[in-house]
Amino acid sequence: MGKLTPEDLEKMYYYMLLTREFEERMGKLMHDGKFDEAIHRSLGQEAVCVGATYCLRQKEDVMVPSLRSRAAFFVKGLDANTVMEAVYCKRTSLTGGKESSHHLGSTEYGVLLTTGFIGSQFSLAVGAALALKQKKTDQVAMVFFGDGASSRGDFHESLNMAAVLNLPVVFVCENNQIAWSTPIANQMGNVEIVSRASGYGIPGARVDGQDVLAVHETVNEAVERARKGDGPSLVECVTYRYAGHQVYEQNWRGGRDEEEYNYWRSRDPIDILEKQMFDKKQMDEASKAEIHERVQREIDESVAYAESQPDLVEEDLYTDVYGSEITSVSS
Amino acid sequence: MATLNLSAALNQALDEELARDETVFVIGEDMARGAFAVTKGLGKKYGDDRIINAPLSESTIAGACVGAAMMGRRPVGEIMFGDFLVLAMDQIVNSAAKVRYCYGGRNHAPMVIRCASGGMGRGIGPHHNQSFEAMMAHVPGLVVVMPSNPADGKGLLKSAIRCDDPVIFLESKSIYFVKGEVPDGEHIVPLGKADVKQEGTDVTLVASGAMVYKALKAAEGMQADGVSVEVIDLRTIKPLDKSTILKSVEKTGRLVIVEEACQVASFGAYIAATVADEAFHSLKAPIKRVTAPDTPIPANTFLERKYLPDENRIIGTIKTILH
Repeated sequence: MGKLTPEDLEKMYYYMLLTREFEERMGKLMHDGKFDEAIHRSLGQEAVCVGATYCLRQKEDVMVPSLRSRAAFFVKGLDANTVMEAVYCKRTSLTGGKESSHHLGSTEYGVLLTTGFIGSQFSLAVGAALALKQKKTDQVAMVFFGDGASSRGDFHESLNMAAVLNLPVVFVCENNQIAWSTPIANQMGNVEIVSRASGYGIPGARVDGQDVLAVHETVNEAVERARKGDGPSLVECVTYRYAGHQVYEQNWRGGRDEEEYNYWRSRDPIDILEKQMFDKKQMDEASKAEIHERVQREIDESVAYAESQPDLVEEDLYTDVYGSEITSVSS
Repeated sequence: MATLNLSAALNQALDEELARDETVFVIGEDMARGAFAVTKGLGKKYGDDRIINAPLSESTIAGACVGAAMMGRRPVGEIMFGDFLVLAMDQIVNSAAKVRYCYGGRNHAPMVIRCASGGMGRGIGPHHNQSFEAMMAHVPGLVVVMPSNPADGKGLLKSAIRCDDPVIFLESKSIYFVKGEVPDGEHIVPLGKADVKQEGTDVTLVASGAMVYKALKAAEGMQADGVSVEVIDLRTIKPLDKSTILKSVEKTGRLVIVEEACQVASFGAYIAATVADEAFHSLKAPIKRVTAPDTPIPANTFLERKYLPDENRIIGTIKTILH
């Protein structure tokens, strides 16, 4: 992707705002007992997934989400209705209602299914990149992960294998500096996750994860490298999670002091882009209000849509375990 | 028809499937050599892109298979020894087995994980000779296959590669180099279909993999005593070919299950439960199992011979239920 146009910036602003407002609404809906899903939100981290995923071709390239990559689903092309019906675990959702909305897979939009295991997504991205390399295309795979996931053995295995096999994959770290409740300093000896890139002989970069344009620019270099056949990269985006690990911990501060919290709140990724756009005269109060209204309307519609979709029935318990070949011999 | 050992027959199956379908690829450690020569020569023929020599990373070998399978490829991953499956278990159990389910049926994971399984002597013991078929069969979404001879090995591996669900393909190490007739070209053995190796009227003997040879020897031994033993080779552990077993037990009234795996919570226990449930009134005697004990498998080869079921133990067990 070349230079960003004013339309691109407007879209990125829309995706970040949609993610923020969608997740705020999820919290309210869950509090009202509308669904059972234990939601994990990315409040404060939206610039990472938006800036990085915006480097991808919407359908052709492959995105492998982390637990906190909701924005990446939107940028990849899944709309609010699609994500909301998955939050409600409806029968018609992409998961068939049998998996939470954090782990959506879409064959149409190049979104790979992941599991509820933090850090198990690395090798899936390696496999996707392997498939792309075999097809001899210039498509790429991108995988998101948090600082916590970087402690998994699979992080090491997958970065190493991607390097050895020279695969078109970009590893994007959403370093929110905390894993559930454990601060990064208690998770690893060297808190600069990017430093590990050199251990695998691959390029690495560290970027301000609150600045969506900076994220986009840095990740884009890595994506272009992968497209050209020059192999994998690691990009660490430093960000901050406003809320708890999951929605039950809405007002939780995790022992983080008020000063730290306020500092990061003052660097809100949506505010930062808004200011950049106002400064460049690419946004005014009217165009801003228009986006805000659109976002609220889409979320309202998504809730109404999700609530109107059919629920699962008992027979669904037994479907989609095996294909017809196996089902027919085991019956 | 050629005379090949199991390793060569599996090599032929891989070769034919790689030639037939460009989405098939192989990934594992030491592919050029192949721990049991199953992948020998394939790298030279199909190149590094399709015969992928991976670092020592079982979890990522399995996970890469899942990722590629979700992208429409048909990977055949090799986890060198079945014991190492535990290193790949997260990706097999949580990713591979649940792709179809979590995509609401919109995608699936057509992949095979091959492993050398079970006892073989050579003093490799507790960490290289284990049998994990029951552990794998416990996971919904997986298919588990255990061939007992070269022809079945070829036909079942071809079926496994063409299957749209993840298949765990367990190759009994002790029979890799046992020879047999193998049909040339397109030879398919369907998944989920057991093979009645020998018909009989007095006792049903169910076995899989290397244990099929022990069962056949035991049947031969019993014949000298005038006892007619029916021997069933499961070929596929999961899905289980229940109807072949039930039909046989309804005829013989006696069932002995032979397995290389440890006794507690074994797959044989599931077969016994199924027969007790569905053919109880056909039974003339208690169902018996001949298994390994509930201990690790020893490196000492004398002790390993005592650990694994053999024809004498099978014969001894059959004799306890004849009258």
